Amino acid sequence: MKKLLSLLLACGMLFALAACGPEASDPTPTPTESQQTEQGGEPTDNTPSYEPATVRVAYMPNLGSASSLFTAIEQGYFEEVGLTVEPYQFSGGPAEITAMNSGEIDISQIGHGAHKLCIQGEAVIFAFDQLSQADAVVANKARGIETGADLAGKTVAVSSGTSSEIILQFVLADAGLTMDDINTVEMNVEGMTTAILSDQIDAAATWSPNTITIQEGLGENYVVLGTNNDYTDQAAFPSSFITTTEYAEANHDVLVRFSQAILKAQVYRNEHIDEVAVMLAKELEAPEETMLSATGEGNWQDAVDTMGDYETIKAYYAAQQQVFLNNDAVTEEVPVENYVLFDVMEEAYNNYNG
Amino acid sequence: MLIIVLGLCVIMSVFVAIRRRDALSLCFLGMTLSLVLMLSGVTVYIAKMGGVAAAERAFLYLIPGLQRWLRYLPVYMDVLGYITAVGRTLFPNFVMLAALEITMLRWVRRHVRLLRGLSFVPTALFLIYYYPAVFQSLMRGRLWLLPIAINISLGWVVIYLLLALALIFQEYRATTISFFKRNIRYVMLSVVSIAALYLLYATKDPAQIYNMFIDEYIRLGITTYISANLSSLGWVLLGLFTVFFLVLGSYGMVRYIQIDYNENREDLTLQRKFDAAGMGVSVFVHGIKNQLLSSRVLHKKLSRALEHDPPDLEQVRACAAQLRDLNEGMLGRMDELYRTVKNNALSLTPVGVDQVVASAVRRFHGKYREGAVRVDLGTSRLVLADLGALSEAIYNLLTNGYEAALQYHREDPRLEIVTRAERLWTVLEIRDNGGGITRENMGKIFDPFFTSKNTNYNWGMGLYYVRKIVKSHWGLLRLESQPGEGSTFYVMLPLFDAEQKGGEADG
Repeated sequence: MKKLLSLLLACGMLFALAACGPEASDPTPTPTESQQTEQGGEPTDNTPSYEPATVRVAYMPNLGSASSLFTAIEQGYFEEVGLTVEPYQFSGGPAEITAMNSGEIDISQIGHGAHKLCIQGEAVIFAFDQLSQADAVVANKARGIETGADLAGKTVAVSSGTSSEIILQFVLADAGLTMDDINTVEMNVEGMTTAILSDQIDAAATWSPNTITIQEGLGENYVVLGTNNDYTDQAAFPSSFITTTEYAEANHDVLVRFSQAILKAQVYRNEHIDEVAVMLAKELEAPEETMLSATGEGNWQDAVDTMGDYETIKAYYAAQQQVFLNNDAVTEEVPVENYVLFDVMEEAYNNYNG
Repeated sequence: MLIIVLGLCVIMSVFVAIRRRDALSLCFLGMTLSLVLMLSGVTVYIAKMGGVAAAERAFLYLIPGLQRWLRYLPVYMDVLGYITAVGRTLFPNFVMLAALEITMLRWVRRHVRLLRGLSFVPTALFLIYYYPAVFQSLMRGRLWLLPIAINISLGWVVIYLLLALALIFQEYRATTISFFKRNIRYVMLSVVSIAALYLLYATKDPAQIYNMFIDEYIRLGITTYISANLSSLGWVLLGLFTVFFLVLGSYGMVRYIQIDYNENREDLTLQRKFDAAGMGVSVFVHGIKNQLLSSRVLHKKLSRALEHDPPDLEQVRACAAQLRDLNEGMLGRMDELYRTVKNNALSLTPVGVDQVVASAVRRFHGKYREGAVRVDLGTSRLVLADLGALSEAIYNLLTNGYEAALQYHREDPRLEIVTRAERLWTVLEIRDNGGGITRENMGKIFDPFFTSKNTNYNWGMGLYYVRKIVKSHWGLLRLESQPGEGSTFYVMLPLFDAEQKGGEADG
């Protein structure tokens, strides 16, 4: 009897493991959204009816990455277009793309660094979010660093493949150094924050709002060696919403509706950035003051100004690709149209205007 | 949830290690610690990287703030990755070592040291391979190597686990004594459940933590730790199953070779032993006093007979005879007591187990001519034994069993003695159809001076003596008993010569 019970339990466990394998990644819908709420939008005569759809969206816990997404959720812009959005937090863009490629995520909001993967054909861009000003290489003066040149031989934390790594490369190039001249250690950005404050590392390639926490912690010893703004003459740092080619082909309509809601959110964000920062602080369980201090990390106005201006957007992406071509991260130039879905952008903009 | 499961894993295995203090429990501890190491690395990584897996916050981190704290933990990714790699690499090795401990396959036993050593070779190679600096210099510019290395490392993990489980399963199949079989089953199931928890993340390459974000990793489609492995229900089920089997397995581990009831419970039974010894003294005094009282009565009778004129010689002769018998009886009991108390110097020589049985049965028939004993010689292997002492011990068990059957008023007192070759043991089973022994008494029967029989004729030294003799043969004495059905004593003697013919050892 005992033997039978044990065998049954063993079989049960194997069954549970099999049943809960990779397919089980379909997460429970968040309680804030539901498919029924689609009808809950303001009823107007012009409101078209939408096929309800659920999208799983990856974001990073900072104002630049999460502001338009959470504004659209909070303001009910997704509901208006029949979308239920399930947000998933990630530490960096490359991790988002990995999750997207394995089918766990439909859409990702990525920073500059991960765009390389789009150029290389790993994903496609369907919405421009904003020009980032969030990345920075920061250092501790007490460790003998005042300029980029002082980084030689120092321990610098970096999160490979992210936008801040690109800024680090710029800073090093300006100082006549390369990555080989410094001692890089791989860390996640939040880990870097604690590490630099506890003197474990000398400098960090990080981004907002971690930069603000570091500034507060280091006080007078805080030094910024370079940010996106220092290199706008050489490069553009757009952040975007991306998806896989397969998802884009099968869900063109969903992407258009998603972009439409994002455009609306971008306008709201530009006008109410402080309110958005406070809302996001609550969503991301981050200190309100830190989020409010980070409101300058994106060019919110530019996002509104470039709506419908596809030439400017294309120029941003071309300039961005040039950065990767210059540092050999991308070996061959790829036409921007190959990985940016301007048709989705255009349709979304037309719907938004209409 | 995961933290609770891992915590329980460690507590149980530390408990088992303390209780058993042997190589197998250390392997078990090694298994759980390496699993904890790997899963700690992975959960910290998930906390840092976020993703779909991190959404199962309650199950991975239990305390809401823990994930946030881990995210800010200033640990280098190569350190985190190597911690994970070390845990992942050591686990299969410990499972293999545990299997090598458990298995009684003759070939394996003969080469166990060599096999143990060899099992470390691939482990050491993988530990070197995964060392971040080595890994990075190996892979730089040679990324075509990566998928090959990942498959080799995963293949090794799977082969080790399958081999180890096959060895344990083979041992389970080949074991015939029910209590051994049951305990191996528990051990096997706990290894399987821990291995299931391990495989959840062991199928992924730990090196991804050092530099997950190199494009090639993404392009190769290498599965990541941040993917959701299980749904909430899956985590709960896996957690419950692991804990269930772990408790069962730990029970099995503790019981696995703990055949001698008192061996590992000396501390707990110290007080009881003290009481038993005290009782023994009173039994001894009571017994002697009875004898002396009888002697006094006889002495009085003798005096009266001598006071007659002429003396009543018939009465004198009768008294003298009774006194002689009484004296002989007392000397006999004194001998019995002395024999069990003194240090036996045994002279161990290779003797056939059949000889031991024959000698014991002969002695038994010397006392109970009418008592039938069914002998079933499953093996005639040689054992290293003192023929006299060992057959005396077996004789004691036979006598006990027969008397138990008589005391239970069986019309057909049945005694059986079976010999069998069981893995690396030569086992003598002595079965009776007496009244059996209650669970309460099972713990006491090997104590000196414990007896359930009439104390005037029994000093309660029989089973204490048997146990002592068996232990001095490096053997084990195990008792299984069902009240109302009878008892079976297992005298387990170590295999004298692994090379000897007989073949039974391989089951």
